[in-house]
Amino acid sequence: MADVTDQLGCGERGQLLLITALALAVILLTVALLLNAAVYTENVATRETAADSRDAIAFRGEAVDGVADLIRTENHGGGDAAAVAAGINATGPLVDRQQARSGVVAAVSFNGTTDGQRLTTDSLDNGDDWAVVEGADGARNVTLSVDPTSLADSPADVEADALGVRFVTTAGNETRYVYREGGEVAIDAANETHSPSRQCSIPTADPTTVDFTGDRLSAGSATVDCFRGLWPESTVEDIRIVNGGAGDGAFAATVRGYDTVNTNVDTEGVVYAATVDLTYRTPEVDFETTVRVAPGEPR
Amino acid sequence: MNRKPTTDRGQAHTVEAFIAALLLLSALLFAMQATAVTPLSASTSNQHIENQQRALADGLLSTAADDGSLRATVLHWNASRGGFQDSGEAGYYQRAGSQTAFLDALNETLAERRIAYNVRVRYFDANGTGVSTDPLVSLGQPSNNAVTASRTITLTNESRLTGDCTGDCRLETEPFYAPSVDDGQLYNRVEVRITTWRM
Repeated sequence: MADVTDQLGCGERGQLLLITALALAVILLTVALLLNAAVYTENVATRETAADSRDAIAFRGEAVDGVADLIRTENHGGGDAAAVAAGINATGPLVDRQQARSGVVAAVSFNGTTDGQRLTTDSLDNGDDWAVVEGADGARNVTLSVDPTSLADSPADVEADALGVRFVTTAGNETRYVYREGGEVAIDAANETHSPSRQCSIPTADPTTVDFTGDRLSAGSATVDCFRGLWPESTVEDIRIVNGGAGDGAFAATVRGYDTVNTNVDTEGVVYAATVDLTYRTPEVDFETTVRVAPGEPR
Repeated sequence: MNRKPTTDRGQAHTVEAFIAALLLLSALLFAMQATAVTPLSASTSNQHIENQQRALADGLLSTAADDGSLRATVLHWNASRGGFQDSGEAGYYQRAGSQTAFLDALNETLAERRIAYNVRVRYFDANGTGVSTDPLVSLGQPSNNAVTASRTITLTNESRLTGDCTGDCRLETEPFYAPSVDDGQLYNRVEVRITTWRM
């Protein structure tokens, strides 16, 4: 083999070094550029190309929550529709100023309200099957608060012995039974073709509240979601109490209108729903909508 | 083959060596500047981490707003003491904790992943034009790569404090950090802003 070192000679190694250095420099530069190009490509490829509408949707959610709170608050104090309108109109300038700081033109303005009636009764024992309301037009916030110790304990025949709320719908009767079993308050669902089946249960605590329209059961400070659903899928026409003697408590519902209501049920005029116009404008997003807010309406 | 005398090429060799060294160093410097060296160095890849943190904070705020824990946290005020309930002398929380469900979620989702956060509440002054900002949780000074997410909730006169109160706990009657901005039932609008950054 030829002696390269010897052939080049000591005096000519500078050139070899220079070429090696140049080659190394080119390799390093190429690696650096490739890495940067890969990072940049990934960044560009994963960047959203459509206008971001998440903020507009969040704005809508915030506005709906705010109006729902105003309706709840007003309904506690007598349900004055004008006060709800005033509250929504007072929110408008605050929303405007708050969003302007983020470069957004936003507006919340009052559009209208729907009147309703709040039905309440704390006398459940009016018979084995009695109508709270008949011919109900729209219902929300349908709740039953009971003293758990007064409920039937492990009834042999749920349909005959447990306190129930019956919803007469366009597709038939749907009944929800509430009773105690093994240290828990349980809710069963039954209809004309199906016998009672467990929907959900919660450890016993006072007070126990069943929120039919919200599909929730709460006891003390705990709440569980009844994922199988408590509110019937078909339109509810009448609401009845079954086996009223099998539990002490209070029943309440808010309806838009009704044909008849039991004499043991108190009625009070409230705001059923409010409609608001929302506007949200940025250089990329132009969002306008009219939302009807009825807190506690079935999902 | 005749060889050239090597005695007069020393200077050229030195200059070549210097140039080679300079080239190598420049290439190294350029490479270090051009690539993302650490997750905290400002670079295009860091943008992904910021996006993830913003999405995380947004999700936490949305969930808390839906289940009511965000409202409960804003109202977790000790009216008689004039500070957030169970906070230190400063009146706000200075370490990650579980005082409310929302703060617990922040603690479990962010603090345990070594993501620091500050939570501030921003509300309108009594005339409804100016705004004030108060800390709710302060874990330190955000870094240059911090991101923010916010959610606004509306308070009414009937909103009730979730901390210790002096009377019936209604905002209308209790001392609270945000003033009432309206004669009607509207009390104030409070913006909850989370700032997150990597520790």
